[in-house]
Amino acid sequence: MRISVSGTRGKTTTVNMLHDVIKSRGLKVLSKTTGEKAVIRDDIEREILKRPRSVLYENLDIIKSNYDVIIIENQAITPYTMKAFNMMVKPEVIIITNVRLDHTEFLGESREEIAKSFCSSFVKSVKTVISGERKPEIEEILMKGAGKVGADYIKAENYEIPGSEAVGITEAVLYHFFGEKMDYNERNNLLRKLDDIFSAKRSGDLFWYNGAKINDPDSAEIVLNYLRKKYNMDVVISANLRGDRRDRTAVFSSFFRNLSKLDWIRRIFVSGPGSGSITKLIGEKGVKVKEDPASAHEMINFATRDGLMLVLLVNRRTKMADILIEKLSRGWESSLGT
Amino acid sequence: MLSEYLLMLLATSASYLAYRKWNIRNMVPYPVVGAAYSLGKPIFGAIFLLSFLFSLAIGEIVFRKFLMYGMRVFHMQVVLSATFMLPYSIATSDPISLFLGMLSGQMAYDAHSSRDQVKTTILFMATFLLLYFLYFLARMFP
Repeated sequence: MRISVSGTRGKTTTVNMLHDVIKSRGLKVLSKTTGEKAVIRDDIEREILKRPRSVLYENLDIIKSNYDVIIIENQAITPYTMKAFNMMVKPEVIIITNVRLDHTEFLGESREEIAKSFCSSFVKSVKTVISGERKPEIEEILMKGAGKVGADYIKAENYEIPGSEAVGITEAVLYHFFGEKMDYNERNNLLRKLDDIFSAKRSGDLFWYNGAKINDPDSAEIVLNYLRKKYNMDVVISANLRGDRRDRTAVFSSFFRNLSKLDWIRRIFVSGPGSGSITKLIGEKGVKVKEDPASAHEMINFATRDGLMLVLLVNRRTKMADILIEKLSRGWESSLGT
Repeated sequence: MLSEYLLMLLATSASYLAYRKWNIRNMVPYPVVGAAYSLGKPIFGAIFLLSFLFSLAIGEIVFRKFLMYGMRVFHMQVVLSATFMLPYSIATSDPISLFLGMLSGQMAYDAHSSRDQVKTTILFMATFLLLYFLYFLARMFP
């Protein structure tokens, strides 16, 4: 059986969760994730170091392997390459983790359009589409897309923790394809692991959360609300912009403006290309900062002094995210009072 | 030149309207350029459209049968279209037509890589024919 995992957020988490849970049932499982480093797993885990120029072709070798279940993350970000991926992999099951506003320049400028783009990648081999999406309008589009290729549509459970659709999807795969139900303890363990992912770290007196890989406003909102509920702390944001990801800059701009109206959002520090205009749009809570250690220092001191949680958002591969993560990971000593 | 400029404005406005109203994102200037150059050269126009369809068909075949995609298909389609145009360019000693033939290959790739190939193809063909017709009318009433 071949499973292709698509969607905006949580693809890697879902692939890994499916791998562990199906393997624990005694089946021979091979999985492949992508992203910053592409990893292949069966009984052991290995990173793909040498990659072809068109990385979709690396999936052709994977599907030739002899395993009971092959789970592959669909790394493509355009309707065209998503379809090319599925034509190569020929999955029986397509998983759509969720549909959110990212890669808008290729996929569409609304969640509905993005859902249609996902649907356009469904190929004839697909018998089942499983989705963790909760918005009814989006679900309807996915259901219709599944129907077009003659596939069944299954809605996965969600457990109110960010990313918990991965657990619901894993349960759905287990139940519908292996006739097994996940017991209470197993589900709780998986949810606890997710909860760990959405936990703040502590560096000196500062609580911080690395959400730099949260690249869409819907996910950012879910995570910020979750952190607020969990820690009951006010928040300061480091919004790290990238010149080559203007679509993200655009979709986050109105999000930050609305977010700044909340009492518990105390400051939004914006760095990178386009930070001037976004800061103006945000208003009084927006602060433009340079991508340098002094600005990182300023942000950390501001959060520490007022007992706020510092949350990194928008882009990971930025100079400011590098500086902050480096400083905070090695253990920040507040310079207050020095 | 005023009629050409007005037509360009009309085409661009219609394209933007189509994007806002129906989220049609595949409008590109190539069918407009092709249609404008076709006026007074209907054979060029016919070959332009045929080479677009031919390149598109070949692109779809290599994608579906041999899983070739992306830049490989793009470059193949551009060369195919220009080659398709070559006999006409030689016969009419018109090198510009050969370079414009590349645009029908670009159109073929845009249609091939779009979310809905059939709709995009129809849209390109309709744009070409509509612009040709409008340009033809505009020339009648200078």
